[in-house]
Amino acid sequence: MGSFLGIRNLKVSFKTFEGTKNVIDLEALSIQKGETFGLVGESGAGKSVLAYSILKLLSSPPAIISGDAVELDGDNLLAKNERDMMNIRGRKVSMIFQDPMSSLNPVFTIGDQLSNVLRKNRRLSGKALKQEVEAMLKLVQLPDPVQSARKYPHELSGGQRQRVIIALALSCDPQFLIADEPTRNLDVTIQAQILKLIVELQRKMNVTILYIANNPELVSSICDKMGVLHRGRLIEVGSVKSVMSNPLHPYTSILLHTDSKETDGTAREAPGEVSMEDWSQLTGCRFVNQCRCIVEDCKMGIPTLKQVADDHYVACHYVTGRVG
Amino acid sequence: MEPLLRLVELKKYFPVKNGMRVSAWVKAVDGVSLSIGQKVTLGVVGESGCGKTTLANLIVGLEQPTAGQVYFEGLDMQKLNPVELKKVRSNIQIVFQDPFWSLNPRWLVRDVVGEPLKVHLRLKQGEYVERVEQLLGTVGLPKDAAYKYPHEFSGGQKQRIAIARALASKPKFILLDEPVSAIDIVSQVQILDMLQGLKDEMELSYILISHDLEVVNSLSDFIVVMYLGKVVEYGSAAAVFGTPAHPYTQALLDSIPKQEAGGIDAVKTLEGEVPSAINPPGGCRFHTRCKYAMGKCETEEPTIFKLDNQHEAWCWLLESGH
Repeated sequence: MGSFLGIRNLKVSFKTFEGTKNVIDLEALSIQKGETFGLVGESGAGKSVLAYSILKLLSSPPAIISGDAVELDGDNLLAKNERDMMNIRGRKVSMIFQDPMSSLNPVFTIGDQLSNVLRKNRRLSGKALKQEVEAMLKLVQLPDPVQSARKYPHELSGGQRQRVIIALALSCDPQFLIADEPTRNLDVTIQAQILKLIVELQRKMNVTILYIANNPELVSSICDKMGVLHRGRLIEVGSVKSVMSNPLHPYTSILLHTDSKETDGTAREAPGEVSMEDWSQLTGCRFVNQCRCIVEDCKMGIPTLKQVADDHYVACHYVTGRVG
Repeated sequence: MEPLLRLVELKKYFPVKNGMRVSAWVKAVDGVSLSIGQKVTLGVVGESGCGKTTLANLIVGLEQPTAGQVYFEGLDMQKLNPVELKKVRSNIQIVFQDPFWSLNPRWLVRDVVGEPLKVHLRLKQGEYVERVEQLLGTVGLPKDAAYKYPHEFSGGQKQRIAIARALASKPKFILLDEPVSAIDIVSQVQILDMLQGLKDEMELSYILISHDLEVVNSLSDFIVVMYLGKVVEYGSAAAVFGTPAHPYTQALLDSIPKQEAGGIDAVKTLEGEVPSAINPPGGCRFHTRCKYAMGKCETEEPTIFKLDNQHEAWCWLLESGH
């Protein structure tokens, strides 16, 4: 069976004053239908850019998107024009954005904003529209849907706003949902509520989710599969269980380590800061300057994803050299 | 022995104005008493809106308390004259939450870090450069960073500059207000490790304010859990995280999804959100969300219950022996 979302050789670069910079260089990514795929990586790794390029939300120029295919349910999104994309966004693919404060319009009530989407995409009007708005707000468990619909974004708390965003994203029954750090800046108690809501709705509506976060622990608790993005390249993919329990890429083990609950106070190994160096010029592995397990090949060729175990792929010369 | 810093029934109410009239008060901090000794890290946790940052501002003197006292080495900070206050303040420094807004964008890093040296040690601009370079070295930045502007650095590096500035006047106490919440997860670990190292090296005391329990757990010796302007639990880090006594602390710890414990399905969520601090619920402020709430909780404010020497909580349940 083919995958629901299949990305092959996607390259995204940005034109800047200092020349063209490559941000995403993805050889392959596939997500099966009904699956929750978690994407982790530090800031600057290209997580959000990847999400935006699936939806083709990047303005070009400065962005340059090239590659073989971004296939969603058999359709190649790269070949679609803007008008077709308008029909796909919201109905087939939808997105929950990072910051609930800036993704809602402050001068309209949330009821208005929801009706807007429903009117345009599902051609509802009058009483049916009103009912659907209330049904959506009820679905995301907002207290008192009728009253809430009349409120402005600033009258809601951060958690409630994020619920509205989820309602907006799900209002047109999408098959695929991209959640870009939906719980960032939320308290742990609210984070737990939102996560539960997302998982619950996913089971109810059977949507496929691409969940982006920078906390591996969090991703592992709700996802089936996970991938680690480092400097625009996917360096490790696999089932959550095998990646979390047996991280193979040196970078993944650092990333997982950083999140561990060690309290012994000993210095933990961590790579340098996200540097501004132009790694797209590197001919070899993009982690080579910080890696502790360098073999000869690392500086020569870019490692590609190789299967190392059942449902576990790694892009690292050191690891594959040891296994093979 | 007098502790380094002692807060006595500290309160801060903000007026809610309806036109010219004050119609209500936001009780941001409502009677907090704490003390912290030398070379100790005290972690303060709680949800947003529970008064953590207001508490921080009261301690460093950026806000004047409505009632209560702040004692630093036994001196009442409100009773000091400006000259004495300045002297005390060189011992108290703060690292703010967001390094993007807390460094002057028009100043060279040299002057950002050098400002406390100018104010407290009366060094002139030419004299402090050497010391600034040394400070930058302490926080792991190269010497030539002194001649750059804040925007040339990443979030983690900016926070290092803010820490260098806090260290400049050789303080005994640094208040860390969400020091890593605005920066990347990989840099977070580095900054926290560095803070731990500096504490041992320079014999500092910290108050670490964060909503991230992992961060607090990794650095603190003692923990204070706050809810709506009040302390609900206090104790050593091991006690509070190991055997949490207050239902709110338990709920906070239960909210973190853990894969080995069964992922998100095993998480017990706390219903609802923090009530408004303008009209906080009577009795125990947590009773509206507490699953163990009894009749007594709604009417009477809980009193202190000592679980042992270093662990206390404010909850009626403990009294009745649960």
